[in-house]
Amino acid sequence: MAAPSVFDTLDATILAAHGAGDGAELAYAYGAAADAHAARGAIDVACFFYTQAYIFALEAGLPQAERYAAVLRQNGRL
Amino acid sequence: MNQHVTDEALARVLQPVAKANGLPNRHYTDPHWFDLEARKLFFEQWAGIGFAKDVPENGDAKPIDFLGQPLVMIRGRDGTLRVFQNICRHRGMILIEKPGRIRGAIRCPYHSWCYDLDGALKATPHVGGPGHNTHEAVDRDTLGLIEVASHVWRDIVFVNLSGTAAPFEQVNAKALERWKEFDQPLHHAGPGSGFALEVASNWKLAVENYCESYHLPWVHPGLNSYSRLEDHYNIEEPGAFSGQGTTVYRQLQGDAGETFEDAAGLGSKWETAAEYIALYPNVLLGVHRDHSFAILLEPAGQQRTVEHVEIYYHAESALQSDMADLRAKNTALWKVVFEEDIFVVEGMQRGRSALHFDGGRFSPAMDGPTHMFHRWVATQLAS
Repeated sequence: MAAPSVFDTLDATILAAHGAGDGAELAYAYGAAADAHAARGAIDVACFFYTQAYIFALEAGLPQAERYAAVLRQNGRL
Repeated sequence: MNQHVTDEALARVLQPVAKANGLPNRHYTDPHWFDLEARKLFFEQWAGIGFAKDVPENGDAKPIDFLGQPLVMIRGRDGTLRVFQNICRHRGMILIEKPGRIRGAIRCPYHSWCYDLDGALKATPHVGGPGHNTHEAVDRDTLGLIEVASHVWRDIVFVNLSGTAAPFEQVNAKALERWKEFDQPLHHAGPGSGFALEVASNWKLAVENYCESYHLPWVHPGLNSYSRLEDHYNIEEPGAFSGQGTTVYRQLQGDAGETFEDAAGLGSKWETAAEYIALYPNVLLGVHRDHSFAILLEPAGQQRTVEHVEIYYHAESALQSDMADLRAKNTALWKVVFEEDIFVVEGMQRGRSALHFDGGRFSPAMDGPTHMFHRWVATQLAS
């Protein structure tokens, strides 16, 4: 059996955070997933995750909301 | 009033007090009239929906269901209290289900459209497709939360849902003028200074009972022992409010003779006076030299009302820990008084099932304030 990938780990983290209603953790986990997808050049997928990260950061009043927003703007998504 | 009213029952209410009948049973038992009154007596007026103390800090939000209308009070980052329809502009989903602090944005739990505390639509995730957060057909500038006209007076949050009423200060100018000496900070001591009473009665019966002093010796013999019926006077302001006053208010004292500090700068009248008015439609207010109270009548159904009672002090010193016993005594005293009224309003409600009751007659000497309220109701419904 293959070792779990970074995406498997993030999937688990995201699901757990949804279950716990932990907005800050959701923002962090979606943001990490977005960065990982961006690093491999998958911009469309990354922007989906940046959107998720942005929304949960915005709701929680976290400063990283602006970073996610900036990336989305750079890619014409906001 | 020379208004031509075609509805005979309402026309009888509008007669001078000596000839008038009260509102007929349908206004207490017929759902058709309940719905009409919701629109004419509440949505088109300035109605009380809550207390500003319930959203004390910036970011605090409290949802309120008012006659089926989903509302939410939110204190913005600028400290301003605003009232919005508690729905997302996307699919009408309820936004906020329980009171709490909003740290960043209001996120709709359905598709996560996000709003700022002032109602501005901040984000529309994936609205243009996955990862695309704008769409030319969705203009965020025009899709903010729907704000409802609101005004805070004496800590009560009033709303005019229809948006058609004149400004609050104009509609209630005479009440504001009458009690302008009390236009100073109010201090609430927390949960021990408030309580709610649920009564099996139409909300109007609570107003009717509150307006008049006629019932005091019979229903509140404890009050009458020191504040006699003849010490009371009627307060009548047509189209706005009515109630009663007393010239012999005596301050509550603790075991060591301590009293609550007075409001600052009151005239000599208030050394012994107290006044109680019903601000139409649903807010009952009382003022005394050292404390005030507000009763917000929540019309939870045609035959069910929740009376939200909150007591306020005029001096911050009343909130000190060494005044806790006196505050508790004050709360207990008012609770007894208002509980004594329950059998009356519930009894009148059950009486409204009597087929042959014609709305009743008024004592021209004693029931003027109650008739004035009925006149206001009839006038609004006939308009």
